[in-house]
Amino acid sequence: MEKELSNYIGYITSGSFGEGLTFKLNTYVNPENIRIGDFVVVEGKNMDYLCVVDDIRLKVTTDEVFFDPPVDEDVDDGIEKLAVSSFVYNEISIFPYLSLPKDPNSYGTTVKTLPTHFSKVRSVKSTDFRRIIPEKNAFYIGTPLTSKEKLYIDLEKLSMRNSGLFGITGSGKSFFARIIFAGLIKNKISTLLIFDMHNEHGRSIRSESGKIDSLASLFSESVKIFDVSKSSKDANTYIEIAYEDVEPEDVVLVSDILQFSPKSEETLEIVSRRRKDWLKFLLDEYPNVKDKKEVSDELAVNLESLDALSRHLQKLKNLKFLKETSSRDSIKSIIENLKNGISVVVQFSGDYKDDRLTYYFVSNIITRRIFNEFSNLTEDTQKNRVVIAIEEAHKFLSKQYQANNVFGRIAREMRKFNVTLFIIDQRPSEIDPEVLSQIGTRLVMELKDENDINAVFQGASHTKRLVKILSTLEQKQALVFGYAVPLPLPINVRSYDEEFIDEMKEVKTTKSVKDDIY
Amino acid sequence: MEEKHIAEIISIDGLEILAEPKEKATIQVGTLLKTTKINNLIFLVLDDLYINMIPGGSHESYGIPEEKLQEEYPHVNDYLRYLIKIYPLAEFDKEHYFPFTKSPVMNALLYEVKFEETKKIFDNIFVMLELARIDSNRFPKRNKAIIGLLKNYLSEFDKDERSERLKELILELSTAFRKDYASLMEIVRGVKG
Repeated sequence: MEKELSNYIGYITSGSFGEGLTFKLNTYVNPENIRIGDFVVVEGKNMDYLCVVDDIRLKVTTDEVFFDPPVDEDVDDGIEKLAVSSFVYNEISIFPYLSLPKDPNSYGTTVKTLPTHFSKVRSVKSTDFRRIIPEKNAFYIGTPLTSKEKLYIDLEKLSMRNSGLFGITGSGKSFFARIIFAGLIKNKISTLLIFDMHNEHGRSIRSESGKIDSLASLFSESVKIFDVSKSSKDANTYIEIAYEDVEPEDVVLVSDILQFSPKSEETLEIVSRRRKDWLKFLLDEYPNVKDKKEVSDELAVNLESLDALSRHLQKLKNLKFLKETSSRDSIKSIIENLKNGISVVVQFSGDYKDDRLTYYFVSNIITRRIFNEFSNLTEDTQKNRVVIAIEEAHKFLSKQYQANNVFGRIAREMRKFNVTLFIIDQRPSEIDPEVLSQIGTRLVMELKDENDINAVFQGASHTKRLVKILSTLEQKQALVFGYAVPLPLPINVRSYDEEFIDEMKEVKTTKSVKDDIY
Repeated sequence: MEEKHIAEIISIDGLEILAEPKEKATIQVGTLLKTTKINNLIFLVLDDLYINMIPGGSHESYGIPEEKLQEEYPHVNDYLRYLIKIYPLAEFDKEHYFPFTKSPVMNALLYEVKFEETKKIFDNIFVMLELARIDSNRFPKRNKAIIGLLKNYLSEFDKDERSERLKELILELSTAFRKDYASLMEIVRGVKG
């Protein structure tokens, strides 16, 4: 909000717990300088209230104004407009999300009281924002929509439950995700496993202003890159997957890409039940079998279906990292790194860049191994919290797949084993509502589709208010709400620029989290 | 040197107060006057009028236009009296101006209010509220009187100061006249014009 002559911009005229508060905007404050999602503070007698602007209304006290309106400002230097200031006024609806005790060293608490009539309303100061989240956990993620104060998120809380970053293409999801990832790594809050479909978290990325260090460059000691392509020069290790690591569910997940026929899934299930080496059989052996009828009879499946299944699966033979037997267990290596506090970026370069088949297939296989490994650990043996970041999450977590899919099980069951998901997606409406309800913190960027908008607010309180704020967001702006922030934060996401990178490079022993804030 | 009065109160009927200007002087609607002897009151001239002391002695009775009356029937003037209607706006003591509480007294003498004193009067926000409180049904020239008052007052300032002071007055008027949009706009347009 633009600073006006005085810090005070109005006074409270009405309010209720259900509807929030209303204040009359002072005559000298231009309503165009206030927008939905702005923060204001109401100064009560016993405490202050941190509120978010919900609505702005232009009001008149009498309809006579419309029959004889004032002339334009350029005609009389605004004299007539000044005169009607008692007949027209602006009313702002705000909702109090946090009570701030008068003691400036205390943190905000849930709102349980309301301020009195005529309590003064002022714009927010940076000191108010510092009282939202305890300083030791606070990580700077952006600024309010119309001012430059710093806003923080509690990364510790963010990583304790599943979280989701949603937004349409070009809304700035990748940069925001990278900021969060860097914060988690830098502050040693959790170990990350990032399935990097678009190669955005490897050694370096290109921004509008040039080449910028990415996660693996920033934290070379604590981030390792695994790649499915041997053409990658950035990778620390190349991934190899043995046939025995593949389960039928990995294939079913990509059945649409493999163009399965309606019977293929059923056939696959039967074959995999009867043959332990089902993948080797379907990929390598069956195409060379002379008496296919005999084999199909033996397996008790339809010959044409078996033919079709084997034919469709042949696309997997293009995946050079998929081997009958693997000389080294690269998935085990990923798991060891994660256990040792080293974050892992799984890259898909070369021929596999932006290849959906490879991405879904590999992510599912690796994650299932991790699930099996970590779900066997006791609380004593599992020290590190692991956050698994997946893009195009709706594919893994759709209603169709999530019930049996490993990502669905992680979303529902793995919090107690210190493994959570960080979902990045542009179509949240396609994610199973049951999974969405398990998302603790939501970082929502620009969304256009009504179904997607409804989906991201599923289970959230004050939905109507939040929808209104979301509808005003532009590129590189986000609405953050849920477990990791005590109130919804509409923000301009901070830039992933040299300043940020310098901040991340700073050695923690010389600069504490506290210094980040003050 | 003792200040000379310019009018004298000759009739009081509640808030209908009539005064007669001295030596038939014309006093404009919107002029501020004050009494200083018994009660210290500030008045606003809301109307000026001729009152006929003899029934039937008006130009209508003679069937001629008003301006021809004196010319053709000069004796009529002896029975016509030029009077002003005044309305109490404020009371004052040595230091302050405040809303009036006392009533004027008969035959109180009225004196001119100088610009410096007018400035002090206008420093009090209640003055605008008193102006808005004047019943425009009983005093139909109220708005014209307020326009005259404000224009006279503003004309004493130089251009820049006048513009600033005008804005301040308009804001005060807007608050005072918040229940009467039509009057407010009439006054504002009259003053800024």
